[in-house]
Amino acid sequence: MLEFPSFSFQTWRPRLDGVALTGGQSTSNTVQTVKTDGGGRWLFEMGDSNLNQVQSLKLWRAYEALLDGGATEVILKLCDRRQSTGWPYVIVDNVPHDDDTLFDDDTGYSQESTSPIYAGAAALRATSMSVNSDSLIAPGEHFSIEHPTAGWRLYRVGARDGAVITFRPPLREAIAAGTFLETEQPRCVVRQIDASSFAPAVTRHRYAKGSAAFMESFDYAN
Amino acid sequence: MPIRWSAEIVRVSPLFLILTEPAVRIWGGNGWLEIAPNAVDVEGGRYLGGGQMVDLPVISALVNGVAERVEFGLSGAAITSRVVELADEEAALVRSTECFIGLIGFDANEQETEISWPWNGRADSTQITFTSEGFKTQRQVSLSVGSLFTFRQNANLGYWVSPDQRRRSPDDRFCERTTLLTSDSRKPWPRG
Repeated sequence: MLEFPSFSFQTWRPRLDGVALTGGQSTSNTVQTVKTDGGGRWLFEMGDSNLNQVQSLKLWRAYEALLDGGATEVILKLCDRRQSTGWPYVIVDNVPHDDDTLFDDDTGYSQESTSPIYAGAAALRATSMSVNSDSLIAPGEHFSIEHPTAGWRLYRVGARDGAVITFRPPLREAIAAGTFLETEQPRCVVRQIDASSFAPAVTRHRYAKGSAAFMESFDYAN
Repeated sequence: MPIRWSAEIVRVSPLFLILTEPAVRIWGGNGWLEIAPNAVDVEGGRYLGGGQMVDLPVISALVNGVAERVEFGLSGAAITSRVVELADEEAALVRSTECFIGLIGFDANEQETEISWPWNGRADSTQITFTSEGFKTQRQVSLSVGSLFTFRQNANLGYWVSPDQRRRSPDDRFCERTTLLTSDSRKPWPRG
């Protein structure tokens, strides 16, 4: 599946969009709200990507063509490293080549990494599951699961109690024990919405700012 | 069985079931919803997310003997190939299959609590429409569903005339002379 590049947007706004109904205000000024969406879906609004470079404007226009006004599903990565699990990441340093030699200057490879998080089995529409208890995942962070049918789906941790995390939206598909939770680059299968405002206005044939909006896509369920 | 509307249940979603073979199951949220066998949906099964069920019609009880007919509109992700098949090629099969509207309650953790099926009816005609507004085209499948009384061809017993009154009670002569009364006629009172 096509992946939407990060485009270094200046503003990012991932949110869970739901449907709530109220029965109106009572005489004692109470309003009761009833949710009718059974969990909601993700909406992503990103604004003000700087497209002043020729290549970035061309790339933007290429994706405008590929997104087909919302008909094509794409994978959107949540570029939210600073708020991701375990940031700042551990730096694994001085890793040698496979014959145990180092580079000329006696240094090896180095790489940032987080320790992987695995989940216990959970049913379709579960909103809590167990994770390995030494993992750093905390409330307010996002994770993704690559489901066999539903593909990449995004979830947000709401609470953590020992090894059990509570999250929203409800699981889109049941998961087996030992499922990997992607926390470094959480992502979600989405489709473009509001396609008409995707095309940037180019000032003096040169300066442009791009904004995009995406909605979680449910084509798998058809 | 009605949902007990306690303060706990502030999350409900509509369910929509057409008992064709195989049944069409749609719920008001997103993604899948598995429902265990229950009184109406005896097999239970996977409900497809009809997040964009355009409108759930107002359903009213049978009042004054006029049976109602409601229209369900589906658009967007809820229009699966199966729904289009039913609406188009197999429209004849859909006619007079049973349709149910249910409500499912969720607790604070979005787990299913109770299901109730407050309304049922029989499907009548289907229709696929395309509407476009500006550059946006919307495809909508609508299904007209009548309640169980819709297809009864009884006339209303609505008029104070002798034939209607005689159908209520055969030897009743109460309305025998009402035909003599038109809006112009005047009955002198008291008789002089």
